Amino acid sequence: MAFDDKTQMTPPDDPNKARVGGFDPNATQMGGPSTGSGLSGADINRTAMPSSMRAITLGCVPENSYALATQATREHVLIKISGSGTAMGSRMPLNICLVLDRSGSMEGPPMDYMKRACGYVVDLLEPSDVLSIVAFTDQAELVMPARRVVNKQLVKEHINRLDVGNTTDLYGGIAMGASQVAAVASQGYVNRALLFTDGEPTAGNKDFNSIVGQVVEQKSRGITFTALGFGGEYNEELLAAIAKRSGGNYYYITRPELIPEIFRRELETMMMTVARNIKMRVQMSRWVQVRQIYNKLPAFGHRSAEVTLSDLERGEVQTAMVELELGARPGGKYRVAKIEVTCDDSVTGRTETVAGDVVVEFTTDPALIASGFNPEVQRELEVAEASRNLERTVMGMRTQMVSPDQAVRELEKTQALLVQQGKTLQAQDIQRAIDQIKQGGAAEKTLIGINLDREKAQ
Amino acid sequence: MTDDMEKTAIGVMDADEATQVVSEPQAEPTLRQAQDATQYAANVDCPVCHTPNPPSETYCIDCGFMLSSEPVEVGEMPETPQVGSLVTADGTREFALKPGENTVGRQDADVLLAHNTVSRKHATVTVEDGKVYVEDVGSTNGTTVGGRKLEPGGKVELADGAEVVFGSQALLLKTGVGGQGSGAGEQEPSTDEHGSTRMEEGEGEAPAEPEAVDSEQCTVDSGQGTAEGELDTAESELPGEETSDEDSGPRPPAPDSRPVIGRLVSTDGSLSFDLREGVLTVGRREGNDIVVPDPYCSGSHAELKVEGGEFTITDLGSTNGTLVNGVRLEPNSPRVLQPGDELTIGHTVFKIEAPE
Repeated sequence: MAFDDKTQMTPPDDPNKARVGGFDPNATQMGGPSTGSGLSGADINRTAMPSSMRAITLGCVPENSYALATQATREHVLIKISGSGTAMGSRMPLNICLVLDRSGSMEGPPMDYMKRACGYVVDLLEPSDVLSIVAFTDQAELVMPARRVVNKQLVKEHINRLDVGNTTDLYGGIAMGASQVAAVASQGYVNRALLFTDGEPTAGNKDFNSIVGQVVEQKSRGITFTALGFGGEYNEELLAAIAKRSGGNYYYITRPELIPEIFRRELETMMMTVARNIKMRVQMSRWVQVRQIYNKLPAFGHRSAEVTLSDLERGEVQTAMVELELGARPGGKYRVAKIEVTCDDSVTGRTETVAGDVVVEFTTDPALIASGFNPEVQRELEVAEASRNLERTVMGMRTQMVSPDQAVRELEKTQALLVQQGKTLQAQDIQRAIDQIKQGGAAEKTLIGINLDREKAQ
Repeated sequence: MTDDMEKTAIGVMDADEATQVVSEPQAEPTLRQAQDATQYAANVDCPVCHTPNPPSETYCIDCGFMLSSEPVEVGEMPETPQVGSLVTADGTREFALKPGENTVGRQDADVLLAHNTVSRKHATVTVEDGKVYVEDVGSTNGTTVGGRKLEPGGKVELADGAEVVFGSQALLLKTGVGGQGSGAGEQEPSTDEHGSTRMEEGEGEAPAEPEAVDSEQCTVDSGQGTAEGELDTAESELPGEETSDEDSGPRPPAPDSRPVIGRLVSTDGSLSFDLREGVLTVGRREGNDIVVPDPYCSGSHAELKVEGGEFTITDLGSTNGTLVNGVRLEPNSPRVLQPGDELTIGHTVFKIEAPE
């Protein structure tokens, strides 16, 4: 269904379309059976799509559409990247590596439920998807190399043969998982490793920065890690960092019987992906500097700052808050920055770029400036502040600088603000953490995964 | 993927690059004519920054001014005192300093360094009586100047060009009056001895430990963002100082009293440029410090940094590349040139000549 529908969406008067249909030999391939060609082969389609047919839309909202002329000033810009809300075409095929901890502590129900969870994954995959399995204990080992999920029974036999070992070579597991994902051409696939662990790294390279650094390197190759932490012993700071820096998801699984459900949820998330490998570039005009992009580490270039974003699900909105330093200039309207977002687009099947202008009018009229504030950006700035407070609270709890009572008070404040701003899912997560603290438990593993930059479709 | 993006970016921000010749050499004359036609026929000069713009642009490709509108008369631009700035060694970031106290830190600071080796309140840089001082305010990973770690509370004066490292983040002090009016890359014509405290290319290799308390936020420097393009110092210029200028192009540089350290000479002998301490822009477009009239040279092609008797070339993502001894450079990766090295910009071959 993917292909024929998409070509029909192109307006009939589009000259490019006519050329494709008329004498482009590739056109016959496009009309052929869509099975298998899927999105990976979609780059034969050179037809220009109207922007409405893209998987993502971009919004650039300055904090204030006016700024004071002839004076240096600072201004926030809210960037909103939205995944298309309706299903267009088929889902992107998945290229998954299950990277599984089989250290000694997994013995018993955790191992049983982990195998069951992997079985679910296999059941949910289709022959167009690719799966590989890596397990790690004293070192990493390849359980099943990357292959299409055709013989599901065979895959499950591989899974069922897993047994518990001793220590935890997380670094080795990540490296091997990434190489398995990389073994398949990345274009058109949702490329992701699912890292499941219940403990601290105890074998191989145990250095926090090396592990996260490796994940960052894999991210630059288009490979995302989702981190699934199980039980109370794993290093939530490490797993959260792995997920965050690679644009993947972080899950805290409290009980073994929840493992299959969380695996299923992550798989459904992946199947909803409409855009992957998303990069946002802020191209600055003269007299403009990027001061910061909240919660991101931009790569600065010649008049540019670039960040990577998480894969985008259908109906999801990701936001990025950019703070600009605007130099003094004569009055008038200026494009202070141009925002470009590139991604692998599930609708067109190609790498697409959408661009938006950040336009600010520099004026000497203070009344215009007072009237120009955008309430949405101001709300988001409050959320960003809440996000920072949350982070500080978590770190305070980890280092025991913040007492449980203080933490609850701080969290309740943050929660109230999130409710007010309509971030109900995150507010619920904070409630869960408050309950955990009140029951005398640790809440860091819950709190560290709360991400206020993403608003998923509900 | 990145290449695509790069091209798009150039296509929009730098539209005359679109006419860049990339095809076979024999097609050159026709293409050059075509290019001249598109480039010079109907360019629109920006009323604010005087950059020539292709007629298709809505906003000035340089300063972003909406070309269909008129700049608003605002009377005199206020005299903003230019007391200097802190710049990254790769030139991609510049923090203008204001007179008095400038805070340095990871949050809500004037010099905002979002890096996990930088404390929220890390240091202050004070500008008074034309002098610049730095003081560590109790940071976790410390502040070093010229390799010496500062005692908390001790103020140290920074000389022009001095390197100061906050945590692992190295910045260089660039003093002097901005808006000298010349093209990009023009540094303050200054005769005082550069380099007394200048460090070699600081890449932030300080062995700083991440702050224990909040290393989560940005745990690892991915290495991105270093080694990118060179500084376009024109960005710190004040627009107001140019608006009265009738000339469409940037004004010629002020007479330069800095000593000539070397020369960049084309091997066919047709081009020769004096090299002085500072950052020189290289490109086809007028306004570069080194204008290379070669259709294979991009409008903004490369930057040549002259510092401490060393010459460093950085390709700025040019279409046809910058080659040293026949080897093409990665964009935005600085490369030190030795006298006698063969430097190819587009199709023009240069050699560096250093007197001693």
